[in-house]
Amino acid sequence: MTFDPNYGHFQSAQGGGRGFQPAQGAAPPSTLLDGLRWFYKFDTDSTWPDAVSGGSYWTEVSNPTTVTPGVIGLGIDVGTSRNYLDYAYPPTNLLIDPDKSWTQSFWFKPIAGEPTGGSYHRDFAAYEWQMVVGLTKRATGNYLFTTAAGSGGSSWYDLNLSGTAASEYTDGVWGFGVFTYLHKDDNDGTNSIRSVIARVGGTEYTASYSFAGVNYDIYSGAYANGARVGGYPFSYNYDAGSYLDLWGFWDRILTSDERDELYNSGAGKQYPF
Amino acid sequence: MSVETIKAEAELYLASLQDQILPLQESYLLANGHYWQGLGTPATTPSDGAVGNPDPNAARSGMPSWSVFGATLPFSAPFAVACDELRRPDGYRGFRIATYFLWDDGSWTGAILYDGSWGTLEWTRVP
Repeated sequence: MTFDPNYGHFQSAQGGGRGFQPAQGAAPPSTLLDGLRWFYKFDTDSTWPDAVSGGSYWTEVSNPTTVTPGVIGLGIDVGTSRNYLDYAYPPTNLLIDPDKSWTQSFWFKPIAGEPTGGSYHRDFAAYEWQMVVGLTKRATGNYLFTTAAGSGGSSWYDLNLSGTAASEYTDGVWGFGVFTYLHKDDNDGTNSIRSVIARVGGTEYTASYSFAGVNYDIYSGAYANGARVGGYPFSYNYDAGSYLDLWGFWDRILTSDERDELYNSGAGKQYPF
Repeated sequence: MSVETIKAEAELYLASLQDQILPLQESYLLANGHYWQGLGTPATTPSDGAVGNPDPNAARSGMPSWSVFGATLPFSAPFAVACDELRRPDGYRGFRIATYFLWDDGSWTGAILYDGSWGTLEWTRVP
């Protein structure tokens, strides 16, 4: 008699089923596991392991540290002295496919006391494939969820979620954001669009941007070389003044229900969901 | 003053800092297990050729200042100066000295990495 895992029962040598039925009513695994490439909880200082692979891949630049509390457990402080994590050459198991849509999700917590900056000031930046996702402090003192994309290191495009007081993040408060790259195959065949979704006070704010003629450069540019948490690519002049937690990366678009699950009524959710 | 003039001045300074900082960093690494980090100074990044005054007393939390560490800063310069430490869980250690300034077309950074040997100076610009 052998155990047949396909049916959850023991099977006799003659093929007759015996034993027990599969457990009924067990919750299925979260769909958030589908296409998940990495998930960083930032609970472990110094090694900063990826919860999905267990590997530690980052280069620490000037000692970013954990911060208490995070959204769940600890978070990472990349905001005090231009410290950050660099991912200059991602291992192949974490590389994304540039010909697919992808999504990043974050929790940000701006730090009080940051100066109100101009267009160059970003308080947090996570960077992947020549794209930056972060917060830009406005003259009002609040923060826009913002992105920028570069083309071969020479042309940069700011993609700010249009600012209304309700959609802005505030100092000292964790805010949730999602950034999606929509490949043309997922977008009626037109050129790429990047979608930005911020969740503030339980309300979702969405903006999308057309990028005709730019996306092909993003992937072939000399700077398409990895990821960064904190800081700003290539520059000392862009302070990183925020905390970060629960950074997930998927090689697909997340559904509205999945974003709801990650937001979890403001409590957040982490791997393995 | 042009961008190229500022870059040339910064490169001269970085070349002198390379010679000075390496033995200091090697001693610091032996004594502390990690490289020293120099807080970027002046706090206000020089812009469009205007000179700033790097502060030798600038220090990252828990680290000696530039002057206590022994690294010489320019008294005045059209660029700011910083030193970062890089490390990985596998034991990799390195440090990077950098100069940076603002110009009307963006932010310029010139940096050299040391991780057992000196790399080449690289300039990058973010508009």
